[in-house]
Amino acid sequence: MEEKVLVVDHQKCTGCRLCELVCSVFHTGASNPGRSRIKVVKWENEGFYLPMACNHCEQAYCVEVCPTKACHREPENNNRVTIDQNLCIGCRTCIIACPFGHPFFDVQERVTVKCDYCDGDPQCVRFCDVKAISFADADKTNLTKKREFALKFKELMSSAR
Amino acid sequence: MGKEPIHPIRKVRYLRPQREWKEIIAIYLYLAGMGGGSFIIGTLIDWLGVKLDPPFLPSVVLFGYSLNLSKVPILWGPIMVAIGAPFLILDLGIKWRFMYACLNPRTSWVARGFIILSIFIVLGLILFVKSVLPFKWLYPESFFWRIPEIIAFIFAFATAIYTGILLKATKSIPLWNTPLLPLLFLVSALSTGSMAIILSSLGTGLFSYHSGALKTLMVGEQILVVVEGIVLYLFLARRYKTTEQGKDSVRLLLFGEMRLIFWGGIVLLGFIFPIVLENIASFFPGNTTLIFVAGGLLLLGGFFLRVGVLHAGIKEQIPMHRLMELQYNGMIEKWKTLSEGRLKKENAQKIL
Amino acid sequence: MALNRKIAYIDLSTGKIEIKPIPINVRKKFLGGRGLDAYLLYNHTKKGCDPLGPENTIMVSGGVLTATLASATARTHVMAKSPLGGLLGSANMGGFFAPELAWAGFHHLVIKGKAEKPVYLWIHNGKIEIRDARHLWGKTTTETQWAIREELGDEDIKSLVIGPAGENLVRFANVMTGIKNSGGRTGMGAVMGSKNLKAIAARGTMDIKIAHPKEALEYNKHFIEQITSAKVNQTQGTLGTPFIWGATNSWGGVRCRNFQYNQELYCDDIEPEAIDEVCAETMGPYHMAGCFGCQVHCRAKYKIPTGPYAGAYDEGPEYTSQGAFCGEPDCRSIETLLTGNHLVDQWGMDNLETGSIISWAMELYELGILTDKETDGLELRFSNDEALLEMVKRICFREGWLGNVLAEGGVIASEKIGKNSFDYLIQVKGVSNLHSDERATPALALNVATASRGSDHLRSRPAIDLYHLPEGVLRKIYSNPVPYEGLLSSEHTEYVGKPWQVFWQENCYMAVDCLGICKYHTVFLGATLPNFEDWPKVLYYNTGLEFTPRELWDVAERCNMIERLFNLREGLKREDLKKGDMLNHRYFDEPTRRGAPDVVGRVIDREKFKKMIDEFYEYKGLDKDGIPKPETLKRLGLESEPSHLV
Repeated sequence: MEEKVLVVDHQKCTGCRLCELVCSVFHTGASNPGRSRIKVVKWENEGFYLPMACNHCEQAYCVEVCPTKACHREPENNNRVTIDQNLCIGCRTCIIACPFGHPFFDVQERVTVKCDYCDGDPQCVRFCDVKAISFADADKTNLTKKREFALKFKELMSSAR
Repeated sequence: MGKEPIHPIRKVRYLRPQREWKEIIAIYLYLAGMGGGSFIIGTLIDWLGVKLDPPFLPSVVLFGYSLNLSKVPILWGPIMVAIGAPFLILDLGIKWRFMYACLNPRTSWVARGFIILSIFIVLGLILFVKSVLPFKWLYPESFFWRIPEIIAFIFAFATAIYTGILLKATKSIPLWNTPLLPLLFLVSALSTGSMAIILSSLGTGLFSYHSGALKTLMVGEQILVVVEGIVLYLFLARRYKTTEQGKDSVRLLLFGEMRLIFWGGIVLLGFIFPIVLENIASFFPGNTTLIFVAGGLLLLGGFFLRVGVLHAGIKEQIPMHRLMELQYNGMIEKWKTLSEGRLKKENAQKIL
Repeated sequence: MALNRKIAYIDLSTGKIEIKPIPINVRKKFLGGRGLDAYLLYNHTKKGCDPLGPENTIMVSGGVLTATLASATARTHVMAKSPLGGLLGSANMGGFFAPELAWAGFHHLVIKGKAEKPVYLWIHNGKIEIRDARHLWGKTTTETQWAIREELGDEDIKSLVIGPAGENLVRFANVMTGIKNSGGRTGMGAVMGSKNLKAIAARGTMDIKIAHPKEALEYNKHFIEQITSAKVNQTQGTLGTPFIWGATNSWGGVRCRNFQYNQELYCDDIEPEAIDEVCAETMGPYHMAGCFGCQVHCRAKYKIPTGPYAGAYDEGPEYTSQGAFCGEPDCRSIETLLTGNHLVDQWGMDNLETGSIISWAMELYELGILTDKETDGLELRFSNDEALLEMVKRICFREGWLGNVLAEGGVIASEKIGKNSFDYLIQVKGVSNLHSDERATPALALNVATASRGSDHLRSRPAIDLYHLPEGVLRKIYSNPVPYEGLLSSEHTEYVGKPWQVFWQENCYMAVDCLGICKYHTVFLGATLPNFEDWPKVLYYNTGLEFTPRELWDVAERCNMIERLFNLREGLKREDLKKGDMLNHRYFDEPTRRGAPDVVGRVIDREKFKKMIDEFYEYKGLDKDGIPKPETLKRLGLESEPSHLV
C-alpha cells in the first residue's frame, strides 16, 4: 500500500516561515502562525532552523490518552494520526502527552488541532521552494540522503582515479 | 547546588515546564484527593462505631422532619469531590462535550476518571443523604447498607489514587511517569482528608478535645504526614535520577522558579508547621486554635503539593533536540580547533 | 482582516498610549507602510524641529500586506526626521519584525517625546507596555534581543533594537532586528537613542483574516514561480547581494578609494564566490537564510574563520559591506570584510555610511587635510585594514577627536574639519552614496541626486537600465499603468528617456513600500518580476481592497509628493549641495579611470544633467525650483496638508 510521510531536511531550511503562513491560511483562513500546524523552531543566534510538524508516530501517545477517540489513526489516509474536531473536548491531555509538542490548543476553535497532511496535499511541501520539507513515500525516505552521499563518494572516486 | 549552567542551545536554564494544565486542574486534583481521603477516614470512623456525641449541633427541621446531622462532619467528602469535578469540565475547551468522554470509558484515564468520580459522587451523596434523613423506612442501621458503603469506600480509594494516575498516564513527562506519584497523592489525600475530618469534627464539637478518638486520629494524622514526607522524598530522589528532564523538573522545584512554592508552600506549610504546631498544641490542652491553624496550613500545603507537581512537569527531550545539541557541540569543537593558536574569542569579546 | 490593524500613538515623555483604527479613506489615499508613514511624519512633526530632540517623531510600520500571502511581506519601515541631513529620514528592513507587529495588532507606531530613563516597548496582542530597559543599555544588538526574550520568557519575540552606536547618538546608527536586518540609512537608530528607546519588542497571535484564502494561496504559488524563475533571484539565492558588487565591479561600476577609482583590481579574495566558499565551509552546503515568507533567501550565514573574532556567527555580508570594507578603503582581505560586517551588525551602525565616511577621512589624511594630531596617531591610509576596523570602533564609541567628529555624519564633520574637506565628501542631502559609481550611467546619477531620503539606490534606481534590454521590452515595462510616448534608450550611457524611467521606478518602489513587499520582488534587478499589473490582484485576494493599477500609481505618486513636501518644508533647495538635488562636483569634473570601454573616461554632462532634472520635475509636477505646482497638489488631493486625518 502506498503510504507517504513528511520528511524534513533541516539543513536546507532557510527559516522563512512561509510554511507556517500557508498552513494557517489553508486550515483557518487567517494568517496566524500561532495557529499553524507546522512550526519552524529557530536558533537565530546560531543559524539553526528546524521545521517541526507532527511525526504521526506508530505508538502515538496522543491517541492513547484521548478520552473521546477524537484523536485517532486513519490507515487509509497515509496512516495519519488526526484529531476529529467534532469529537474533541479540548481537555489538552494529548498536548501534555506528546513528547514533540505538536498538538496545540486552538484558542478560537476551543479544541486541540494538529497536522493532518492537508488531506493528502501538504501545503507546506507545496510552497517550500528549497525542498526542506518533502512528502515522500514512506519506504523511500532515506533515498535522497543516500544518493547525495553516494554522489560525493562517486566524485571522490573519480577524482582519485 | 546553586545556579545551573544555561542550556547550551536554547540559552534558557531549563526546557520549559508544561503550561497546559494550570491551577484549575490543581484545584480539581486537590478537592478530589481531599474529598476521597476524608470519606475514607470518615467511613472508617463510622464502621468502628466511635461514639458520636455532637453537643453543639443545631437541630434543623425540614418539612417537619428534624434532620440527623450527627454524621455530617465525617461524611461530607463526596460534596468536596462533587465541587471539584466541575473544575475538570471547566478546564475543557468545549464544556458541554464532556459527555463524549463519559461515553467512551475504555479509551483513557481522563474518561475513566469521569466514571470513577461519577460513581463515587453518586454513591457518596446517597450515603450522606441517608445518614441525614431521619426516615425509619430506610433502615439506616441495616446491614445491607454496608454493601454500597464498601463500594463507595473502594471508589473513594480509587478517586484518591486516580488523581495521581491521571498525571502518570501522560508518559512523556518523566516527573509524573512513576507509580510513586499515585502513592504520594493517595497518602496526601489521606493526610489532608483526616485533617479535614479533625477540623470539622472539632469545629462542630463532634469529638471533644479530650476524647480518645480524636487523639488516635491526631496520632494517625501525624504518622500520615511523616509517611507523606518520606514518599515525597523518595519520589523526588527517584525522579532526580531518571532522565535529564526529570532532573530538570526536580531542580526547578527545589532551586528554580518554583522554589518558593516548594520550600514555602509544600515543606513549610504542609509538613513543618503542622507537626510543630500540633506538638505545641499538645502542651496546651483545651486550646483548639493552634490545631485549627495547623490544620489550615496543612490543607494549604496539600494544595501547593498539587500545584508544584503540576507546574514542574517538563517534557522529555525528543530525539530531534538531542540531534541539534550534538550538532551544536560538534560545531563548537570544530571552532575550537580552528581558532587555536590565534587570538582567543574571549579577547575579542573584551573589545566588543 | 489586515485592514483592522491599528495605529498607536505613544508619548514617551508622559507614558500616554493611544490606540486608534486606521480609517478606510486613509487606506485608500496612502495605503500604509512608507506612504502612510510619510503622511504621519508630515502631520506629526513641526517645521524645523531638532532631529535628536523630543519633538521629533519616529514612525515604525509594516505595509498593508504585511504577514499576508503576498510573498516576502517582511518589510519593516522606520521613518523620522533625519539627524544626518536634516531632511526626510527613512529606513526599510526585512526580517521578521513587521509580521510579528501585525500579528500583535498594529500596523503603525507613532512614537513621540523622550523617556527619562532607558525604556523599551513591549507589544503583545493589542496591548502596549513601556518597560524599564536600564539593564539592556550598552548591550549589542543580538545580546539585547536575547535578553528581552529571556526576560519575557518567549523565544518567538521579535524586537527592533539599537546597538551602542544608537545609544551614543552616532548620526548614522541603525535600527536592527535579527542578526543583520537593519534599517540602515539616515540614522534612525540615533533618533531612537535620543528618545531613550532601546528596543521595541513584539509578539502576537492575533488572526489576520485573508479575504479570499483559496485564491490567495493559488496566486501566491504563481507569484513564487514568477519570482524564483528570474535568473537574478536564483543567483541572489546562492551568492546573495555580493554578486551585484562582483558583477558591477567587473565592468567598473563600484566606488573605490572614495571616488578616485571606479573599479577594484586584484580582488580574488573578496569576490562573491570566495565569500560563498567561506560560508559553505563554516555553515554547510545550504547556508542561505530568508526573511519572512520569502523564497529568494539572499542572506548568507557565516562564521568568521580567522582573526580576533574567529567563530562569531553573523549573516551577510551584503553589497554595502563589500563596498564599505573592501572597495572604498581599498582593502582586499576577506577577514576584514567579515569582521567589519560583524562589528557594524553588533553595534548597529550603517555599514554604507561607515565605510564611506572612513574612506573620506582616509583620502583627507592622504591629502594632508587630516594629520596625525587629529587621528591620535592612527595611520589612516587606504588599504590599512587595522586602521579601518579601529576607526569603526572609534566612531561607534565616539573615541578620540576624529571618531567623535565623524560620528556626526559627513556634513557636520566637514564643517568641523574645515579647509576644503567638503569637496571630497560624496553625498547628497547629507547622506553618503551607495558604493557604486554612477558617472557612466546618467540614469543612476539622476536617481542618486533626486532620491527623497538623500543619495540612495532604493528610492528610484532603474537598475535594469544596465542590462541593455531592447527598447520594446523597456516600453512594455515603463508605459504601464501610465502610457509613455517619449523616447527610451537601452544604452546606459544615454541621457534620453531616463527621467521617465527614474520617475516610474520611484512610484514603483513607493508602491512596493506601501504594500510592505521586498524590492527583489519587483522591477528592481529583474525585468520580469511583478509590477503594477500584479499587485492589485494580490491586494484584493489578501485584504479585499479593490484597486486598479492606475489608482495604485496615484497612491504612490501622492506619497512621493508628501515626502517631497516634507523635504521642502525642512529646507530642500534644488542647487544646494548640502540639502538639494545636486551631485558632488567630482561627478562632473573627474573622469572615470578604469573599467570597460564604455565606462572608462566618462563624466556626467552638467547641462544635460540639468535638463534631465528639469524633465524629471515636469513628470512629477514640480516647477523649475522643485516646488510642486498648485494643480499637481490639487490632482493628488494634497492641497490642504497637513490635514490630520489620523
